[in-house]
Amino acid sequence: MPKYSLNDDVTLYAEYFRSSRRREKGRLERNLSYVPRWQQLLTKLNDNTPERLLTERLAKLKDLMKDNGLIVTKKTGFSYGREYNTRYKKGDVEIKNLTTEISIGPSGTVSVDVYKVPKKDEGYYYRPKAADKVIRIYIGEETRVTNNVLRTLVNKA
Amino acid sequence: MIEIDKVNFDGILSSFKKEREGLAYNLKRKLDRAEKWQARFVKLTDAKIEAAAAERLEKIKKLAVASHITIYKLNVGSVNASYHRGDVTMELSGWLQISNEGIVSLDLFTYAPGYQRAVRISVGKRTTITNNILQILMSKT
Repeated sequence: MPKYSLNDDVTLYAEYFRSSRRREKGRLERNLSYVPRWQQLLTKLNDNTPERLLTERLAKLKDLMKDNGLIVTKKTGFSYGREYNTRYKKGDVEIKNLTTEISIGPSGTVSVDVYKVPKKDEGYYYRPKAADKVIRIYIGEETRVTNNVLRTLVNKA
Repeated sequence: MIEIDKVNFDGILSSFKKEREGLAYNLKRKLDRAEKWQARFVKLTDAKIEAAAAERLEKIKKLAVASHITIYKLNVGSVNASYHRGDVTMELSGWLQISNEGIVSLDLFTYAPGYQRAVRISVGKRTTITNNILQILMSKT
């Protein structure tokens, strides 16, 4: 039976201390590597250009929604007033019960997705898919409107 | 009837502002902490501290012997030892710690009931030995 040696234990303890320091050093090194990125982000966040752009774009969005025949009927959901129930009406075409989501990008881009969503059953949450999209309005550096109303009507028929 | 005014544009704008403010606040806090990390990182890269800790471990071993303590087992986080002097024998347990600054300390406690601190030896820039054995014995009698 090998004789117990305190010296071995002390050596092991010192090695444990070194490895623990190495681990912490690695962790700190990783954290410190994020610092330049955080500084960049903070500079961007202190710049109020996106806020100014967003104000302008939201004003533009109002007109675009009107032009594309979107009628907001009521507010739904809890996400900062960004989910609405809408109706599409243009000429003699009318689609009811549309779900509208307004999304804001970090740089102040605005996108509105209008979905045709089936009636909610109890205990069933329907996540809209790209194929259910009726209209998409995007306002960033450029403005894009994707209109799938015809497709929705054809699918319905 | 077009009811576009039902859309809460002000709410959207204010929540956007709040989100950005929140993110900026979090980033500022992280960057404040980064200064502390930097200072700590410098200490961790100092090889002298590791060398000093190794020396201090040796020293604490000698000090334990001088204080009539026999260490049976030294694990990471726990120590089993006994105090033996004259006709006084006391079983002790505790821990050996090395701080990031390289301060080595040995704390030994009596077993239940009581868990009183019997001996504390700390070796840093200064060396301190606190021996409460006599006090513990007095309180028992």
